[in-house]
Amino acid sequence: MISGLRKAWGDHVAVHGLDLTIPGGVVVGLVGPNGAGKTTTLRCIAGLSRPTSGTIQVDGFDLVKQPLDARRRIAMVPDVPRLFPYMTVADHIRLAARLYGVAAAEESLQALIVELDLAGRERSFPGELSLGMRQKVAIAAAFVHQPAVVLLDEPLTGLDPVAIRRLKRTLRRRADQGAAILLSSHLLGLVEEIADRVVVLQQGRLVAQGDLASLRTHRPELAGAGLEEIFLHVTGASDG
Amino acid sequence: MSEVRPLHALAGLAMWNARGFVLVGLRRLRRPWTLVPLALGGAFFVYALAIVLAGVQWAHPGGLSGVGGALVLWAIGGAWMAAAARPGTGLSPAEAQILGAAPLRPRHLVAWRVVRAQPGLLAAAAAVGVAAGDARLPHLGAFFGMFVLMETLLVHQVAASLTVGRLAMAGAPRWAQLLPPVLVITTLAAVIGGSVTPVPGLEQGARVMIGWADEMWTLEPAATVLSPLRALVLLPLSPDWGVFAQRLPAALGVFGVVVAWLWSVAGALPEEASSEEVPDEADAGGGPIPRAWPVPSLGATGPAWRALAWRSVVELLRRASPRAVLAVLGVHLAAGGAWWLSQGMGAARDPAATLTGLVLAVILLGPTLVRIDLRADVDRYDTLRQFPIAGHDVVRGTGAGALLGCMLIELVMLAAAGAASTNFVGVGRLLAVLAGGIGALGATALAFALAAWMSLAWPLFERRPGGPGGIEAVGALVAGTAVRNVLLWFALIPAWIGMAVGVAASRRLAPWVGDVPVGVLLQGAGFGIVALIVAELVIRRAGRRLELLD
Repeated sequence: MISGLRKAWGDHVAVHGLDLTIPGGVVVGLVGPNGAGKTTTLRCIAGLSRPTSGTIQVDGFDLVKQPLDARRRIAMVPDVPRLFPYMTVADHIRLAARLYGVAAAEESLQALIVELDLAGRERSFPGELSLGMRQKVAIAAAFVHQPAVVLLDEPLTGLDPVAIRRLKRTLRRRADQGAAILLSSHLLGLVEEIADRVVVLQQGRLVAQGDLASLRTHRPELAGAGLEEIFLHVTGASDG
Repeated sequence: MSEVRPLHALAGLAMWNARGFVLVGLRRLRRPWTLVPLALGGAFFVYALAIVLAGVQWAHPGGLSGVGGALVLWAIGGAWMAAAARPGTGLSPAEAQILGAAPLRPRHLVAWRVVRAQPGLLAAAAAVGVAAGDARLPHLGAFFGMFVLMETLLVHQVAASLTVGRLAMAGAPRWAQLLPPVLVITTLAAVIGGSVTPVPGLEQGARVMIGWADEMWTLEPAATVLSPLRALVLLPLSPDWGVFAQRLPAALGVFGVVVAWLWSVAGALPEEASSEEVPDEADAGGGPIPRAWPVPSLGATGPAWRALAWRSVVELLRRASPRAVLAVLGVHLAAGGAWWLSQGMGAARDPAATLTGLVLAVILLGPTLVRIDLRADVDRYDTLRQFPIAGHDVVRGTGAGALLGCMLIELVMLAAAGAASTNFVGVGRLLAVLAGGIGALGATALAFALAAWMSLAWPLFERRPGGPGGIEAVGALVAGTAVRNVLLWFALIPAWIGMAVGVAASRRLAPWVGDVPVGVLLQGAGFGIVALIVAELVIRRAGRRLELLD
C-alpha cells in the first residue's frame, strides 16, 4: 500500500503524492510517458530509493521502518539485468535463495530453470549469454523466494516471442498464487493483455487507474477503445 | 554534401565532452550537499598529498624522482596488463556504437582514442605544474614536462593495446596474444629486481622502499635499460630551464619513437577494427572464464553476509585462473631471481626483515591492487541493495574474498620470515608469526574497510571497473592510495594504543611466563584486535552509506 508517496531531488519532483494499493492476486500495469515517474515509483517500492515523504507498506511492513522484513517479500526485475560476471546461472539463483532464506533451494532452482527455459545453461556465465537469457536469469533469481510483491520495469527487454509468452504465463501464475504484480511497460498491448488494472502516471501524478472497462465508463468517446487510445486520451498526448 | 573532416569532428567531440563535463560539475557544485563534502574531501586530499610528498622527500634525497619513476613503470606495466585483458582500440561501448558505425577509418578511431584523453591529461599536467613549479623552474616548465611525460605514456598505452589487438584480429591463439605483455612485464620485473639492494632492516620502513624506487634508476642494469625513460621522468622535475633544455631532446625523442610505433600499428589495422565488439559490463573482459579451480559450495543456512563472502571467494578463485597465477608467479620469480643473481647468488642479509617489509607493502597497496570487493560491484549496487540484508553485511561480505587473498599472501610471507628470523627461536618463532598474523589481519581488514567506505563517500577517487588502465587510471589510483593510507595511519592510532596495552600486560605477566616470549603475542593481539574493531566501525559507516544511496 502506497500512501502519499512523494519523491524529489532538489527542485525536481519525480512523484507527487501517489496513493496506490496493489492487492494480492492482481497484475497492475504501470504506464505513462517518458519521465512520468514510473521507474522512480518502482525503485521507491523496492527500497532502492528513499521516499521524500509518504509511506510504503509491503504485507504490513513499513519499508522505511522495517526495510529488511519488507524487502524479504519483494522482488524487483530491472530493465537491464545486472548480473555478477563471475557467477554462473545456477550460482545466481542459489545465492538469491540463500539470501532470502529459501528452504528448498535446489528444488526451486530446478523448477525455475525449467520454467524459464534455462536448461543446459546452468553453468554458463553472464558474458556467455544473450541479453534475453540474462534477463531470464534476473527473473529466476527474483522469483526464487516466492515474493508477495513483484515489481517489473520493462521486463521484456531482449526476450524472444517464446520467452515473452512464457513470462506472461509465469506472471499470471504468480498472480493466481496470490502475488501482487506491478509491471511497468511502454508495450501497451502487453499491459492490456495481462494486466487486471492499469495505473497511468503523468509528470509524477496519477491521472487514471482502474480496469479498462472502468477507464472507459466516464468517457463515452472511448467506448470500445483499447489501452493505447485510453492512454493517449488521459495523457492528452497526440499521435501526430 | 559538405566535405567530411573526421579529425575536426573528433576534436570537436572531445571539446563538447569536456565542456559538458565542466558544466555538469558546476551545476552539481551549486548544491551545498555536494560542494561542502567535495571541498572537505579536496582539502583532505591536498593535505594527504602534502604529507606523502614531504615523507618522500624526507625519506630519500632522490625520493621524488624515484617514486615518479615507479609510477611511470606502474603505468607501463598497467598498460600492458590492460592490453592483455582488453586488446583493441579501447573504445567505450557508447563510442563503439556511435563512432564504430560512422564512416571513419580505424586510424581515425585511434586518433580519437588519443584525443579524448587530452582534456584530462591537460588538467592533470596543469595541477602538477601548479604544485611542482617553483622559483627555480617556472610552473610552465613543470606543466610542459609533465604533459610530455603523460602524453608519451598515453600513446604507449594505446599502441600496446593495438599491438595485442592486432594479434587477436589476426586470429592468434590467446597464449600468443599474451606473449608481448608477459615479456614486457617480466623484463621490467627482472631489471628492477636485479638492481635493488637488500633491505638493511625493517626499522628503515618506508625510507627503504622509497630508496628502492630511486635505486631502480641509478643501479645497473636498470640505469641502462631504463635510461630513455629517465629523461622523461626527470623532465618535469628539472631544477631550472637549462637542465630542462638538456633533457628535452631525449624526452621528445622517446615520445617520437612511441608515436611512430602507434602510427605503424594503427596503419596496419584491418577495416573491421572500426566496428570491433566491445564487451559490456556483464562480460569479464578477458574471454571465457576458466573453471580450473574447484569452488566451495554454498551452505544451505548461515548468516547472510557469509553468502556474499562465498560469492566473493568464488569470484577470487575464478579470476585467479591458473594462467593468471602462473603469470604473476613468473613475474615475481623473474624479479626475485634477478635480485638473487645480483646479490652474487648468496643469501640475503636479512630476509626476515625484507619479508616483513613486503607484508607492510601488501597492507598499504593490497586494496589498490586487489579490487574484488564492493568497488567491483559499482554497477550492481541495486542488485545488492535489493537483497534483504543490512548494508554493513553487504560491505563485509563483498570484501571477504580480497581480504582472504591478501591474508594468504601475508601469512606465507610471515611464516617464511619467522623461519628465517634470528631474533626468535623455538616456540617464540610460532608466537611471533601468530602475533604478526593477527596484527596484519587487523590492519589489512581496516585498509579494505576504508577502501569500501571511500568508494561510497568519495567516488571521485575510484576508477570504474572495466575503465581504462595505464596512465588514464594512474591518477585515480595514486590519489586513492595516498588518501586511503593517510586515513589508515589515523585510523590505526587506537590500534597502536591497543599494542601499548599489550606491552604493559606482557610486563606484568613476565614473572609468570619465564623465557616464553608472550609479550610479542600480546602486542600483536592488542594491535590486531583493536584494528579489527575499528574496521568493523568503518564497515558499519560504509554500510549505512550504501543503504542511503539514492
